[in-house]
Formats: sequence, structure tokens, C-alpha cells
Amino acid sequence: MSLQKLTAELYQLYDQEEYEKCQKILTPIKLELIKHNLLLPTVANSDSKDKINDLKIAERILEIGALSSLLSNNYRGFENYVAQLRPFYSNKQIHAKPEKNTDQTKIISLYLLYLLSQGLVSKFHVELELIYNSKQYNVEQDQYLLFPVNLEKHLMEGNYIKIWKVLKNDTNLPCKEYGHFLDTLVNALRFEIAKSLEQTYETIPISNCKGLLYFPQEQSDATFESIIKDDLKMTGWTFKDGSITFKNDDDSHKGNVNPNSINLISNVLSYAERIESIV
Amino acid sequence: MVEVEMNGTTPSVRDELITEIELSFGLLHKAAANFDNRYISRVFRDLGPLRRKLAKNGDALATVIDRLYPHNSASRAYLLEVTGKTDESMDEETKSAVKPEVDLYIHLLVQVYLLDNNRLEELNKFNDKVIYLLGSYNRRSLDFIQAKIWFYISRTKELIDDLHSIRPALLSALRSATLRHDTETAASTITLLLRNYLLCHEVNQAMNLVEKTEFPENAGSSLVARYYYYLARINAIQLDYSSANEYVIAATRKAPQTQLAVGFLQAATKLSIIIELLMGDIPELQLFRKQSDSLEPYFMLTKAVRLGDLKLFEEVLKKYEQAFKKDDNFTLVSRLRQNVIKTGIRIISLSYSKISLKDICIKLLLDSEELAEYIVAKAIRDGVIEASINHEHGYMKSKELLDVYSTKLPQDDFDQRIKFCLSLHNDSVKSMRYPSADNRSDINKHNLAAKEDEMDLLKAIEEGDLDDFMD
Repeated sequence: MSLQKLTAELYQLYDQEEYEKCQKILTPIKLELIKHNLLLPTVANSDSKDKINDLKIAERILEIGALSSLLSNNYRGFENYVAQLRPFYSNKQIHAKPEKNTDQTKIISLYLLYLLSQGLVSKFHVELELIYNSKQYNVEQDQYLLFPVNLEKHLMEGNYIKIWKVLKNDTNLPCKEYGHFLDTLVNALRFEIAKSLEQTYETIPISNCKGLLYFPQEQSDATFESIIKDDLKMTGWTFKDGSITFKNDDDSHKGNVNPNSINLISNVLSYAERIESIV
Repeated sequence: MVEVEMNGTTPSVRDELITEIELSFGLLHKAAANFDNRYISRVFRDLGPLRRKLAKNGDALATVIDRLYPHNSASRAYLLEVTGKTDESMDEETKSAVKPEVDLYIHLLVQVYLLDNNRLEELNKFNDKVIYLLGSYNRRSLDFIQAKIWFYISRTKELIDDLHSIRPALLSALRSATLRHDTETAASTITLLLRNYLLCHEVNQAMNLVEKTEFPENAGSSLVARYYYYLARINAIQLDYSSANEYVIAATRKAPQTQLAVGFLQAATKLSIIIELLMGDIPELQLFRKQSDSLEPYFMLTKAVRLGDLKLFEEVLKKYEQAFKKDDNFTLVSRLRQNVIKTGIRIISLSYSKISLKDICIKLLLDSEELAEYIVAKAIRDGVIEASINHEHGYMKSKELLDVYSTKLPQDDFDQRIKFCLSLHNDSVKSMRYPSADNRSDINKHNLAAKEDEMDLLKAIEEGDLDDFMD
């Protein structure tokens, strides 16, 4: 019976937004779940209605675990909970109906967002493949899922304006948990833009650069410079006379003009060796 | 329905069939005696036509079984049951126990027969018995038959839409095959597992399997082709287009170039078109000419990307959505949107040496100049175009094209091609088949029969067994 008590306490703590405490209480709860054989949906423990109800509660507990670890900046924990939730989500008995705008899609989309903010694009696409082809989800009509999908699309196209508009305006976010990623995403966005700028311009006035990177104009040039150099880790940007000059990696292009003779020699030698072995 | 068909067959067709099946037993015995799996390849070469005849003549199969199995054999009863004949107690003649090769071959024939007659539920039950039987044998001469049997077991599960339950059995089959150095079965089960995972869209699982297993080097080329195709798919989903491209090309090259493998080739071609487009290349027109009908959606898609026409692209996507989804390529196709934009920019950069951002906006139907600036900047960074932007005056200036021949590029390309030729030569040398020493003396004696036999076998291997290729 202690499981019920613990669960009730967890719900309460979660509603009071005491996420750190949620984390602490989750460990004993999970132990209890294991004792009751509820941490994993199997064929054996999902054959009656009561058992499915129990599993649903277990799922809700894990969902709270995922959200609370996310909100208390415990990304590893978040990842773990998402992995634990996966068998629940793919179980057809627990989730018979298509999911739309539910906690399930919310958590999945948060996970997608997490992958995106960490720059794990290939994992992102692997997840997407699963989601698009599952009958359970309808990406086009789900406000949660649509958000990260669109974000990635815009990011790839270089449509930074749209992203900025979405990120800047909190009301555009489908739920408050997304706000958590805002800072990381803004940073990632600026990094992307800065990388592009570096390649594109030879020189650019500082004020314009601030505009392009969405920094406020009234920010002093010195702080701007230090942000660029320390936070975004951009090297080769020279600040001079109110404008920035980029030192491009053009050297590598120029280096290509003169064929590297050592390379050439080693190639030819290896051909000779191989031909000799054939003859 | 089966009943009617059985009654409708003339006895002569039936008898022919019976002799044909019994003839193949001879080859199977030979394979067992000589430890030469090539005889089995030969049997499989005839399996295709045999299968089509068999589908209508379950009766013949029943007769063969009846003649072959002794009464005390455990398999006899259920084999006869599924082929639709009751076990009539005939005279108690003594029959020797059935050789494992023949036994499994019969099981394979029954599988094929049930599959072709669409009796999936029965087949599924029958498969459980087959799996049990497979576990009881351990002979290297069975490898080829085993590999094929697993294919049909897995196919059954696929058709009755029960992909999860077969996985443990496949995995344990893979384990024992690997331990026994049974390359054929190992290769077959690996491809089956990959197919299973990909059908469920569990790319992560598939990736793990690829990482943890080693695909046998000397597996049959049709299996290798399949394996490469799945690898290409996995890599494409994970955005690693250049390796995906390598794999898909290898898959099309390894695939048997006969009528029976058309489905596979088509699927591979579709994938290869998309991968090429995603890499920013345009597939050659010739590719579409060969098989125009099925590739139409892909042709339209290529057209849209080539023109850099965003509107056309959206139209194509909408119109052929079902077709793309059917091929499981929809997610890959929808990634192409950015490529369409990039091609648009590339065309502009090639035609103008200097153009204002505003004009780019108009040409690409973008919302604002600012947006155009970002998109162009991204294109420059991704290496799509060689250009720079002048922010104050708001124009894009293309860089003068370098003379390619003054760079290292031609040398690199040359190097790549030479390496390819050399490795092709090496591979061909490696894959040549030399007769063993004692065999050679036989041939030297101009043993005509042996030579003919050898030629037949070679032919069988060349043609491969392609019956089960599907898209």
C-alpha cells in the first residue's frame, strides 16, 4: 500500500512544482514498481483490465519522472525516463486510440527538442522515422509534435527569422516545458548564424552583425565582442573601426591549387606496386 | 478451392511433378555425400518453376511424402495433414529413415505450397514444427536449405502482420549459425532481422544489429545485395548520405540482373534516386527511361528539384504522397525541400555574377530580404555556392570560378578510379573458383560427365536463386 501513498505524494509534489523533491521520491517508487512487476508492460501483466489500469498509473509516474527531471535540468535522467516510457507507448493495449495533443506526444516532442538542442540531428531523424510511420501519431495535426519538426525544417533551410519569431514569443510555445530549451536553442541558433556569417562576408559593420545575430543594438561593442569570442567560440573575428573582418579559411582553398607532390608520389608508387603484383 | 484444383489436374502432370521432385532428391543425396553445397544451389535453381507447378498440385506433394516417409516417422502425419491427404494405412513395406537434407527439402516445399495457396494460418502453425526440426539437425550440407526455410518462416510472419514474435527465434538461429560458421544461414537471418526491424521502423535496433554482427563475407550475392540495401536505408535515415549512396550502388550492382529480381532493383533504384537528390546531385535521365511507369513519382520529384521550383515540389509531394508512403520513402522525400531551395540559389549564382538580395527574394518567392540573406549565407556555408554577400549594399556576388584543372581535384578523382579498378581486379581474383587437387585429375581424364555436371553447377550459381526477391 505504500506505493499508493508514495504516488499520491508524488502527484502532490509535482503539482506544487517541487521538482527536486519529486526526483528524490521517485527512486523508492520505482523500486515498488519493480516489486509489483509494473515497470515494464509485458504480455503477462497486461491481460486484464485492472492490470492495464495499474500500468497506466505506472506510466503516469514515469511521465512525471521525465518532466520533473527535465525541469530540474537533469538531462540524463530525462533521457532514461524516455527510454523507460518507450515500451509503454508502443504497447497497443495501453494506447489503443491515436494520440493527439496528449502528454505522450508532449514528452516525445520534448525529447525531439532535446535532441535538436544537443545537435544530435541523426538521432532526431531516426525518431522522426518512427513517429511518421506510426499510426498512433499524426504529426500534421499535433501541436506538440509539429513544433520540433518545423523547427528542424526551418533550421535546415536557413529560415532563421521564423525560428527567432517563435522563440522570442513565449505565447507561441505549446506548453511551458518548452521554455526550458529556449536558452539552449537561442544559443544554438546564434552559433549557426555566426558560422554562416563567417563564411559569407569579408567584412561587416558591428551594428549590422548585432542585428543579424539578434543581439540588442544598445549592447556595447565590448560585451558583444566578448560574447562572440567566449560563448560562441568564434575565432578569426577581428573587431576594428566599428566593423568586423573575418579571417576565412581561404588558405585551404589556395593550398589546393598547388598539388601536393608528396601525395602524388605516394599514390603513383602504390599503383606501381599493385601493377607489379598483377603482372 | 484447393479441392477443386486438385481434382482438375490430369494425372500426367502429377506424375511428372512427382518424378521431378524425386529427381531432386538424388542431387540432395549427392550434396550430402560429397559435402558440396553447389548441388543444392542447383536444386534451388529449379525451385522457381517447380513452385508454380506445385501451387496447383498439392496432391503430388502428398504422394511424394506418402512414398517417402516410413510410418513410424513423426513428421509423416502432420505433413500429410497439411497437404490435404489422410494417412491411409498401406501395406507395411519397410522404408529407410529419411535423410535430413531430403526431410528439410520436403518441409520447404510444403511451406512454399501453403504460402502460394495463401493458407497463412496453417503455415504459421506448420512453421513452429519446422523451427523445432531445424534445431534437431546440425549438418553443414543443410545450410542452404536452412537459410531458405528461415526466409519463408519470416515471410509468413510478415504476411500475418506479427513481426515481433519471430525475433527471438531469428536471433537464436543467427547465434547458432554464427557458432557453426554457417555463413548462408547467418547471412540470411541477418537480412531477415534487418528487414523485420525496418518494417517496424526501428532504425535504432537495426543499427545496433549491424554494429554488433559481422556479415559473412562469402555469402550468396543475392543476400549481400539485400544486406547492402538495408544498410543504405539505415544510413540514409541517419543523414549519412555518402555512405548510403555507396551501399545502394553496391546493392544494385550485386543484385542478380534477371527478370525475377526486378522488384528489388526497382526498390533499390528508388532509394538511390532519393539519396542522390539529397546529396545535391541529379540522377541521369536514362535511369528513368528504363522503367518509366513505376518511377514516375520519382521522375517528377527530380524535375522539381532540378528546376529549384518550390511550388512544383509541394505539388508533387502532395500528389504522390501515397506512393512515397507505400515505398517507405516519404520522410526521406520530405527532407528534399531544402535541396530545392538550394538548387534555386545555385542556379541564380551560376547565372548572375552579382545580384541584389531583393531580386533573389522575388525569384525564390521568399518573404523578406533578410530571410534571403540568411538562406544565401547558409547555402554558402554548406558549400552549395561560392559567393559572398555585401551587407551594406545588399547584393550577392559570385566568386570567379576556379579553373578545376589547376587544383588537386582531377588527381583525386583519378586516384579514386584507379583504386576502384585495382580493388575490382583483386576481388575477381579472390572470388575465382579453383578445383581442388584431386578434382583436377578427374577433369584431366576428360571425364565428360563430371565436366558437364560442373558446368551445370556453375550455371546454377551464376543465375543464383532469385525466386524470393521482392520489393
